[in-house]
Amino acid sequence: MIAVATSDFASLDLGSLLMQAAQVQAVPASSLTPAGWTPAWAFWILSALVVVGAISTISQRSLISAVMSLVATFFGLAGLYATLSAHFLAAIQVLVYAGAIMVLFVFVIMVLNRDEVERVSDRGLLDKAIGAGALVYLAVRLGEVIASPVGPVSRMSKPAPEFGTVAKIGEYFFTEFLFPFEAISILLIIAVIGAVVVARTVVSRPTTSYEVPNAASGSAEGGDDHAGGDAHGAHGGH
Amino acid sequence: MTDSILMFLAEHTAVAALLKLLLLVLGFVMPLASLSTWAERRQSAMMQDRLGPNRANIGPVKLWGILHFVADAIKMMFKEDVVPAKVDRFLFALAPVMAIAPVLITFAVVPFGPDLCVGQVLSVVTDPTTCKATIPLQVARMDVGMLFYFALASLAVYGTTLAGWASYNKWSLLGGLRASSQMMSYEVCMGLSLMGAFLVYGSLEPNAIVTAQGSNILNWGIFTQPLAFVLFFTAAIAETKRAPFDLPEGEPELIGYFVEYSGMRFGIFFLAEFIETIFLAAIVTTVFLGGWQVPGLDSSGFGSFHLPHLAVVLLQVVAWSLKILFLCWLQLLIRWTLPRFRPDQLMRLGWKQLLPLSLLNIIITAAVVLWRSGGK
Repeated sequence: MIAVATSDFASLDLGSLLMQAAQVQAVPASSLTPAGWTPAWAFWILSALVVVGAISTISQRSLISAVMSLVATFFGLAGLYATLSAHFLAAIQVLVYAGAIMVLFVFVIMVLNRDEVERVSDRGLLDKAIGAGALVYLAVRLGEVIASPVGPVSRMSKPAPEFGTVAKIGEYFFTEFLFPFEAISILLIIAVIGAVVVARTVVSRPTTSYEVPNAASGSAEGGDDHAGGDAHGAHGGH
Repeated sequence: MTDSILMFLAEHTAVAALLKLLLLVLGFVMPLASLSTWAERRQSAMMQDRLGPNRANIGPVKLWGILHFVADAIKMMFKEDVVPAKVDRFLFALAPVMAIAPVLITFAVVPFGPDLCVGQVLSVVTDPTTCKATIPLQVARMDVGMLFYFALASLAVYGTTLAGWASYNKWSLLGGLRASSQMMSYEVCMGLSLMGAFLVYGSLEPNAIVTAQGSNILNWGIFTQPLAFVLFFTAAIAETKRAPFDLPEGEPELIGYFVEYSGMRFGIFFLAEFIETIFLAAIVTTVFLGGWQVPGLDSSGFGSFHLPHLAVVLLQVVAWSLKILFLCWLQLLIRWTLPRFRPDQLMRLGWKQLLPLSLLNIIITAAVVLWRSGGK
């Protein structure tokens, strides 16, 4: 069941991309601002960025390089969204994923300060089999879409010009998709509260190293960055 | 002749966009950023009763020392580019690019003037919406507008963070850590504080915000959203990483995330910081100071005193530049007046004071907007 849904989604997705790549040239250039000026080669460049970035993400040995590759992938995805006239989604993709979540990743890697990790190669036979199966499946689906005589273009219609604008998305949020929107809000709030609860139980005494320490406690670890503050808190306040 | 050139630009938006970008970045932003490097030292010297850099000259031409920025640029370019032994070479080289590229790209959304009516430049234009062909004085007019700015501004943090990481130096690593935590914290407040203005002017698009503010000074953001102005200005100064928020640099204790950089690579970080101040000035101007609007000046002139279209546009572009110059000067003043925060004070200010206030601002603004629209 899930497989069917995903396969449909995958082919539709690629189909729409290819269709866009074929059609964007037909739009008169004068009716668009430069932001909407998307020639067909933009699709190929952005797709190449996504694919190369994704491969680089899983093959880099340096953690930071892997994260930066993932940032490049997100950037390429945002670009693809923009060529599909989903400018709002593109901006949010960069803002949330590339700009916030990945910065957090980098921050954590820097705090942990781990050296390069060994490439994981001693996976079991089952893992390899699953991976190979997925790869074959992907190749078959891709070949099917590319080689189909009708072409993927006929499967989808072009989105309306206002599709993906801020106003339209706002309208969707508060009419058709109000319930999922609110449900996700609640889910996120629960996650935030959960994070606070977990963080609170680990550090029993919310303190920073900048507070003047007791005369008894030696100030050898009086670091002045945030990591230093946490380390001090974890020491349990003497 | 002029008309046919303008007509060509109105029809070929991509060419026009490229020209506008070059005009804005090479003609305004880069010269102003270079000048700021001199102005900062000269102004700080004046505030501290010193003389500051006033001697660079080409023969007898001295210009109060303005030529120092030329001397600085030449020095930066010809200095040896030292790359320490154990750095991550790729990321080390990438970091300055990541610092300067996002701030330069974001200038694309800043409107530096009204739409230019092609073919009517010398006549009086009473209603600019009736123009047949226009050239918007803004590189990219996007529906997402300010979100584009936030998205790219959030990438600027990679420049400082990667510089700190790739340098293989404890102090620069600490600087990079401080930068990423500081910029993440203040980005939230920056975005939320502008939300009120979006509600009042009903758009995310910078030029629409400027147009909605009109030439009546009481309708400008600074009067309709005074709290947001203070919040945004504070948070945005924190984003530029300048005093009193210069913890990532922290000269007395860390020297900064760019401690291992020399020559022009350091110069790029230096320049990026000043470009950020100009960009902050541009955004504050757009949202809170009426953008290119001149008080009392409509598209046809001052009230019944009519002016040709070209004169109106020129006046508005000059007004925009003057507002930006004023805000740049104000930032220099703040930078040399206030001492640096401690890291815990920084976090407390960001999360416990600015953030709740910006949420409050959104709620109050939303309530007032709802009430004024008659509850619809």
